[in-house]
Amino acid sequence: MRVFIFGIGGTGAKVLRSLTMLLASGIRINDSSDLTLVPIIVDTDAHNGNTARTRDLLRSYYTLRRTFVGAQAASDAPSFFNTQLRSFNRLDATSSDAADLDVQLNFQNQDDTFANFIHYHGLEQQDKDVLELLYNDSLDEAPELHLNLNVGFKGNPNIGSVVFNDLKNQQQFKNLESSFTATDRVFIISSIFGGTGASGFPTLVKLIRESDNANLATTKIGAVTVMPYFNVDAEETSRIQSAIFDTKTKSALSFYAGDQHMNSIQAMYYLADKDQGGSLRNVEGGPDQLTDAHLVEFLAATAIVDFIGKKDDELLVPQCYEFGAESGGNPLTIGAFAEHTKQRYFRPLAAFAYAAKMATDLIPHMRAEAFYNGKELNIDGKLGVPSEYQKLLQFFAEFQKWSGTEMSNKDNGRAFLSFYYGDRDHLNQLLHGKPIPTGFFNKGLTQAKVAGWLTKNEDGLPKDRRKTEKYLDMLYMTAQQCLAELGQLP
Amino acid sequence: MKILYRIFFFSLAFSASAAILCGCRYDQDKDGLDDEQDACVKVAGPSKNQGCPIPPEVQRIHLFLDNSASMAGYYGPATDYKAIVTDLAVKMDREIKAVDITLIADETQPFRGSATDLSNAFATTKFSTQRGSELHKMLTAVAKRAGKREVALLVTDGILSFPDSAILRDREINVNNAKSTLKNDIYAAFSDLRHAGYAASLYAFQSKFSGTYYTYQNGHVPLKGEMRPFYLWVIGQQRLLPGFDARLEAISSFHPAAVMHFGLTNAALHDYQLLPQVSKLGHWAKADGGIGDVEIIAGQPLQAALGIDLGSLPPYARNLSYLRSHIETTCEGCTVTATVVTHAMADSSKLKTSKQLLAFSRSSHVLLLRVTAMGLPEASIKLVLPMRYDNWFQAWSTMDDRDIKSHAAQTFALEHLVQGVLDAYDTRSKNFIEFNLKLRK
Amino acid sequence: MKTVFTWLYELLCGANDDLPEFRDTIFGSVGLASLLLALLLAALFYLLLGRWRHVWYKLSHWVVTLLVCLVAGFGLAFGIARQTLGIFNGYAMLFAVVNGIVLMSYFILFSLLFKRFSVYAKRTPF
Repeated sequence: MRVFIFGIGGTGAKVLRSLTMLLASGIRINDSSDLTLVPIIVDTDAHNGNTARTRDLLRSYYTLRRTFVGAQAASDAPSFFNTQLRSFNRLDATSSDAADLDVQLNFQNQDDTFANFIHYHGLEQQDKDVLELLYNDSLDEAPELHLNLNVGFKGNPNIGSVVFNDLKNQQQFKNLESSFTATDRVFIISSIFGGTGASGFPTLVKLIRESDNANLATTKIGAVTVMPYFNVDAEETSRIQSAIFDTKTKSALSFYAGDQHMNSIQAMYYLADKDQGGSLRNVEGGPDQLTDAHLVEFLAATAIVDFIGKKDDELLVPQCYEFGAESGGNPLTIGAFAEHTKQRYFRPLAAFAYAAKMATDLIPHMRAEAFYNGKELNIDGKLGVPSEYQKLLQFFAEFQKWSGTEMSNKDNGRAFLSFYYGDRDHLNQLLHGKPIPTGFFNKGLTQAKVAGWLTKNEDGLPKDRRKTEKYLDMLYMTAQQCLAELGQLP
Repeated sequence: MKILYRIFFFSLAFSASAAILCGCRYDQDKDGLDDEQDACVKVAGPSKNQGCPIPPEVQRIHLFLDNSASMAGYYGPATDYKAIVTDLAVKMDREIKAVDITLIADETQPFRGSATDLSNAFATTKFSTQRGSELHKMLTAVAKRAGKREVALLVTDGILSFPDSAILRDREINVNNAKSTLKNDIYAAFSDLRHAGYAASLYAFQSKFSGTYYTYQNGHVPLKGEMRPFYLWVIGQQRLLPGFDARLEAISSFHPAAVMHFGLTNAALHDYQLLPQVSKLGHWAKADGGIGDVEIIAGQPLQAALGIDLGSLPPYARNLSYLRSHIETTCEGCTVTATVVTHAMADSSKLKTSKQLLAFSRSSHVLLLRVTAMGLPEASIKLVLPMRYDNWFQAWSTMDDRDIKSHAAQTFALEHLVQGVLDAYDTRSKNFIEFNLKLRK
Repeated sequence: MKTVFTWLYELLCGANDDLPEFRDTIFGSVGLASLLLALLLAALFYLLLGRWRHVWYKLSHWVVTLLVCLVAGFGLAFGIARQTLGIFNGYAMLFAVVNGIVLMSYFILFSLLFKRFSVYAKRTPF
């Protein structure tokens, strides 16, 4: 089973980032051992900071899975990095997976201005006049007609819809279209209050439903559309204004409601977290648009997991879904969520958090342990694969930043406190709201205790496995023991 | 892998346990006392006695006095016999165990009184009133009274003789048949005793004799105070007798003129202790079965001291002069001489370690082996002390007592009596001591 | 066994002809006891503690155990020699020191043998 996941615009990329973290935590999405996710970032702003970060993270995941799990490993295996990813332009099963993961869908002439894109200069004057009525032809303030597409649509869905409509002519999209099979599914991530997502989402749905490939035209589509969940600093010169987020949302929703193709989406997930304080730096696009992760993005990622986990007969009739926590509060903690959410999403994340902490902070100090030795895992020698080992540690560091720092940022509006990585010699306080009790005889998850588990787990692994696989398995098994010591989530 | 590990572990544990059980302790006699601490390595014994068996204590002493008519001269006035016998009876009674007294000849008559009453009885009562009996019969009757924890003693003149009636028929019967019939009767009597586990000791004394002496032809010769021999036979279980003899000989007034023991030792002694800290000369070291690492330098003899415990040998065999004159040392592959010294004479000034001190303390004698040449890489020293019985009894014996006045200190046919007993106790081993010592360069 | 121990100790300490107790009992019993003690300590380090708990497995722990071997080897030889001889002289002192080193050597050998069966100490000392 393959699922093509389109992440449209900056928000799409950020949700994909959260999804990557979930996948890395070893979440078991469904019972399919050959489940393959095909992430596709759709953004003309190819240099967008958020997009670039997600692209790099997905590529890291791909490389790490190949090195530390094995390219042929099952997607439902009990392991970190278990779910298989594949590049949308290498869908043929026989094509090599040795290359980097390609996730960015390219637009033709994406470095041009909108005017060039629609061949404005070659039009008759009367057509030009009509276009000038529809689009601002100023060169200085809030240009629309002369907007350079390589910084995205700057909150202009009227531009985005035109550009996205041209996707059907892109060779990459045509290839994707032709290789789509009856068992494949599509999931689309977008925001409703920006430019790229708001315009790209309905256009993409239209392209899919009107595809010449019946498999694609009739495929089961899931989509999450994120409604306003953050504010940006108010800047008069910026095209992005928090004040008109709601207006844009209402307008788009009203369009969705009347659109035939939009109403054919089998699972439509709506997410919103309005009226929260705080505001993010106002950056219109490009490399500087690099914002912290937000809880809502993570919840949007859970919508993807939820959709893939649904059986075909659950998707016969189009349905809309919303997400609710058991309690509110700002900052929010894991304890605010329903038990199902905790078990399905936060438990794997907690295991990965333990592993990340062990790998980055504890293991480098465990020189005396047997597994550290050069004849065992050779930690000093970076497992014999210095580049990949370093990449894994960077991934763990990125995860810690994502979960421990970014999501707890008060500027996000609603901060989310999940994991705390500050303690140096124990893991007792790792989960917010659930410290591991300690006493005179039981010091909880100390470095020594964890070292013992790591050593014993490593010793129990088959001797003929690769060091990289043993290393990740050792972390996975020890993280499960930490979870067992933790007991119920908060 | 787990199974391999378990097999390895259990094998290791088993080997270790086996090594502990078999290797750490040496207890040859299985008496619970390591050989290190065991004074009797080869014989089991309680630890309170250093691992040696506790010799059984005599519980009763039966004293038989020969009161046949021929003994009358010993019961005369102021004889040594009466003094010795009464002194012996009283001191045994006081210092060893209770003594009961029986008069024996043709019949046995219990003496109605204690040991202290014997002296008065000798003065007031007439002894030696019975008709004589044959000696082997008396000895058999006496031995029968010696139970497992008892000893029986017989005081007699020790004269072998046929009954009077036989002598009347043939006046030379005693002379002609002493070496055959009389000796064989004695042999048969003591052979039975030996098989029943009995040993015997013979103590010889001298006493004035005032009365009629009966010759082998039954002729009457009056003697007036001539010194005549008489004998004390001690019969008891072999394991009981050495201890009893030792206590008997410890009585201060007990001074026999001669002694013989029969059946006290059955086997030759094989044990010795090398004492490298006693009078050691040259370079050598104790090794299994003898001496190793021997280095002989011309003009510098090698000397090794061997501690030996001769406590179980008869006193005469322990005598230094006997040892020095009879000990035989031979060596295949070397030139060796042996000198015996007593425990007291040995140079113990360099003894320092407890084991050697203990070994030395357990040695009654020290044998100094001096090797002056050793041509081969290995040599074997053989040391033997032959079993030579004392032959004093031959001087104390006569086969013609018709002129007893000139042979008053002799006993008729004593040599055949003693030889009969010797034959009965004759053992395969002809040596008191017998051991081999290996020498290796 | 006794012969082997005698050969070993006399090789290291030289022979003492005046004290046959060394050949008779001390070399044998001390040698066997030392071997078993080293076996016991190695089994304790690698098989018992080394598999049971993550408490005594580091190189520093191993070095301490090695020093325990040295002291135990010395003490064992000292005790048995003194008990057997009743005295303690220079030769016995040399023997005790040598036995400490011998016991350490046994422990090192057993370490090489046992470490593969350990969990926590399978790479101790190297």
